[in-house]
Amino acid sequence: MTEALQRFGYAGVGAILFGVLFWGALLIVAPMLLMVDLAFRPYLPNPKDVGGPLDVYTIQNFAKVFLDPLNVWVFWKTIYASILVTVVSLLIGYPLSYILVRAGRSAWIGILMIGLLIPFWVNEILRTFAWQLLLARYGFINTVLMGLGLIDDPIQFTNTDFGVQVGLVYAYILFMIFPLYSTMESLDPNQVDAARDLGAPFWRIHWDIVVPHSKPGIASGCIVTFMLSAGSYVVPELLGGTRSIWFTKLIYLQFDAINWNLGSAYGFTLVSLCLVFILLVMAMFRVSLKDIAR
Amino acid sequence: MANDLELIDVHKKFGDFVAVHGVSVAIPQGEFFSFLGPSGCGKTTILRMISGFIDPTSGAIKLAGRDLNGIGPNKRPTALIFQNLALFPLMSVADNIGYGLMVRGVSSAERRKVVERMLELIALRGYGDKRIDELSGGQKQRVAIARALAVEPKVLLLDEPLSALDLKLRQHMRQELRAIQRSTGVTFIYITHDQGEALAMSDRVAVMSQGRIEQVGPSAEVYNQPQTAFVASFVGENNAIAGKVAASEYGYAVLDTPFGRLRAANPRNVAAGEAALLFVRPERVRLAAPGANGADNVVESQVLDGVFEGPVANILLANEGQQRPITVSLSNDGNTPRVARGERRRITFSPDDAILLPPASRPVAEAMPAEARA
Ligand SMILES: Nc1ncnc2c1ncn2[C@@H]1O[C@H](COP(=O)(O)OP(=O)(O)O)[C@@H](O)[C@H]1O
Ligand SMILES: [Mg+2]
Repeated sequence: MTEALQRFGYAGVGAILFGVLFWGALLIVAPMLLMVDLAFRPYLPNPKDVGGPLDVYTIQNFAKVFLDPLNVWVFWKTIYASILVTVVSLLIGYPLSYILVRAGRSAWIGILMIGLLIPFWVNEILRTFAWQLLLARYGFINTVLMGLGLIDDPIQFTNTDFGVQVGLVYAYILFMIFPLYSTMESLDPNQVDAARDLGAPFWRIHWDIVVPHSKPGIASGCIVTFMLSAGSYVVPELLGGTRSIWFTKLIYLQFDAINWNLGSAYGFTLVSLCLVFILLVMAMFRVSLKDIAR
Repeated sequence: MANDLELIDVHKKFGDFVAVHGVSVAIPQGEFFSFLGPSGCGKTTILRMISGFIDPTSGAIKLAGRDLNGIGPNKRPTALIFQNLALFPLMSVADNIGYGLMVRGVSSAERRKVVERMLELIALRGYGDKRIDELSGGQKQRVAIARALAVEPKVLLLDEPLSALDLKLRQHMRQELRAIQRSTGVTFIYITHDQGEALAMSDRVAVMSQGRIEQVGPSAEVYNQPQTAFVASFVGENNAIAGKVAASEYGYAVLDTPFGRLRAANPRNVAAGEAALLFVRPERVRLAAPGANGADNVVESQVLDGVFEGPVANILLANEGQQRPITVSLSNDGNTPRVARGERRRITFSPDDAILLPPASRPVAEAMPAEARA
């Protein structure tokens, strides 16, 4: 702090603090509070009624969210699919990160890392379009499978939940790999060797040594992947089409129909459940916020 | 096989680099054996080959006659103590010690008993529930030993385990390690670059240089009868005086040196006319009484400096224009003579305390004549 004062003076530090506070309060906290407020007020088509006697606090929006069976189904499907995407990302990301860490500083690893990164320099929409091409009815994957004679008719990948899930895993797996990689990298390789030397088989070394050490990375990877999957709009839109509706789409439709109140209630529901999920994951892995922020 | 652990012509190459070059040694059950050598000479590589983390490029490692090749580190009856200990920080002391038994499926009741016994052995009773980061350096050291011994290995491998400790603790741990080794009867293979450590603890020491064993023997033998110039200069303090052999007979030789003609034992039979190094320990050199003479070597030289080290006082002598002074250690026994800087002094040592060795560091087996090898 004193160093900052020396460098920027009181005016400078004041400006920086003001900037940060402004950013946090006005651009993040305020809209969220506004959304919560909106969610608990009725939709009034006539703008004159807003702030009038009809504009009272109510839970009717939430009643609409939870009483419509289609909404509930889409909602749980989104949660379930996001959990599935998270688990699959973890199952792929964990061994991959471990191999990357243990292989050390060889040239191959550098190439592999760049290979992992380059697709992510491309816009998310374009990447998802690429998967559309791969998964299409006469796309790359079906052509190859049919060419090999493994299947006779093309498999329907696009416009299905499965297609969306594949796309989500691809879109967000790096957010799983990077926290995993960085926690695993801080594990002393001698720990692994010591467990092995004491007689631990392969799976015990992971269960007793690598997983406990990587817990903060696993937890933050899972949380981020889950949040991004549950909140993804582009991937279900492009790969799910009209057949596979996701909860973000429902939110969007309400805002599109100018019913901000109902849209806010949808959004609030999703955010709340994601928070519950985060807390559950943290409790499950017995990690604190401090560990995750590391 | 009476010999418990055997290394037979073990080589290890990393690419083109030969890290271990034809190491052969047999270590009987229950011995405290040390590999001593400078950093980078291949000690850790040998230890990792014995524990099974890396395979020899050629040669065999046998335990009680059984070839260990292809047996993974988790299946070998060896236990390794890592240079940085590698205790598991997320487990308690007791869980660390019991880990090897747990992965072997030993029941928790049985495990508790062994852990108690181990804590007793390392004098840390009641520390079972402590976290690793609550322990001092020496305590961590002992927990690492207990963790390795709990699985009842046939051979315990120690990779410079004391190097992180401060001097006092290091010396204390030497005795403790030795005592634990005696009471358990487990073969200890200890590697270190600290010659004091190796000499103090070991039954036998193998001195290594650049991937080869230069000499194997009991501490006193390695110290008193070095067979190569490398061993003579690496193990303990030594004076090295370069010269040319003038005559050689009956196991002794006469060497022409900048300090004059000197006589020394010639165990490697360096022939007349060849260059050689004469080694004599500082503690075997004495100040000569005025006028004294006889069979001993006598050198007159100028006192450059005196260094007081507590139990001994070292005096450095050299003639005009010589870079390498001779060091004389005078024991601080109450009768230490006073020596002034710049003074000329005569020093003396017996030819039996001086050893003539070929200057190039060649492997002993190749360099020694056949009759001396037998
Ligand atoms: N995995 C490896 N790849 C390449 N070179 C290695 C490897 N391990 C060790 N070395 C080299 O082998 C030599 C001996 O290493 P090491 O056995 O660790 O020596 P010490 O333990 O005696 O200090 C060193 O020069 C080291 O650089
Ligand atoms: Mg080493």
